[in-house]
Amino acid sequence: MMRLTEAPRSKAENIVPMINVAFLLLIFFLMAAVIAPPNPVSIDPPKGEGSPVVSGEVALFIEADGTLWKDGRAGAALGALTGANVELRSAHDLPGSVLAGVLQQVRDAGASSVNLVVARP
Amino acid sequence: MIDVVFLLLVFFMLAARFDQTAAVPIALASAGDEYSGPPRLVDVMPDGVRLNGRATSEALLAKALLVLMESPSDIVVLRARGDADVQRLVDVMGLLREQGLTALTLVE
Repeated sequence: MMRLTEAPRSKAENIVPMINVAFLLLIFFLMAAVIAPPNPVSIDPPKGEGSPVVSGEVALFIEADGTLWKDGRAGAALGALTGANVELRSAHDLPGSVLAGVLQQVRDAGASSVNLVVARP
Repeated sequence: MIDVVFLLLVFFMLAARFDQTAAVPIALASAGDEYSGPPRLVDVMPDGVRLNGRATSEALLAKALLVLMESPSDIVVLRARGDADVQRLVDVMGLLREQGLTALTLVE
């Protein structure tokens, strides 16, 4: 009996390299992503050079009109900040005297360190 | 499984924010070293600076301050005058930090 030859069938494409690439990309973004709580208000920070950021425990956002945000709420009282590392994210066009006022409040609240966040130009 | 992997990948691609920020430490006068030595008050105006009340050029500010300090880590007090905004303050702070004066505070 004649043996019927099998119809030509292309071999299944090996997709393991693609999965490898996908995993690599995944791991890359996992390492690179900075998981941070979303900012309550979009601030345009001043530009400048500074030291590398170490995330402060308390983040204060100050808009250009002087509104102070803490814990996602505007106009909140600072409360006690004893021993906290404060991160100040201020708008670049905020009057310097207002920033000085906020800094004084932060000092009075007992913070242990203050860092002003700037954007690297 | 591949679907899950791709989902995670897309999630992190969208969620990742590559940080372009830096931090400028502001000294708190109460904590750490007390202020010592002659007055070092820098008034920052939008178009110039004053050291202890005398107009100084920005290029010579750091040198003039170093004369009044025992070490570059002595506290220098900055004050915003006129309409100087935070960007202007950061510029002056950057100028001083470049010269090694890193203990800067801000007063009203």
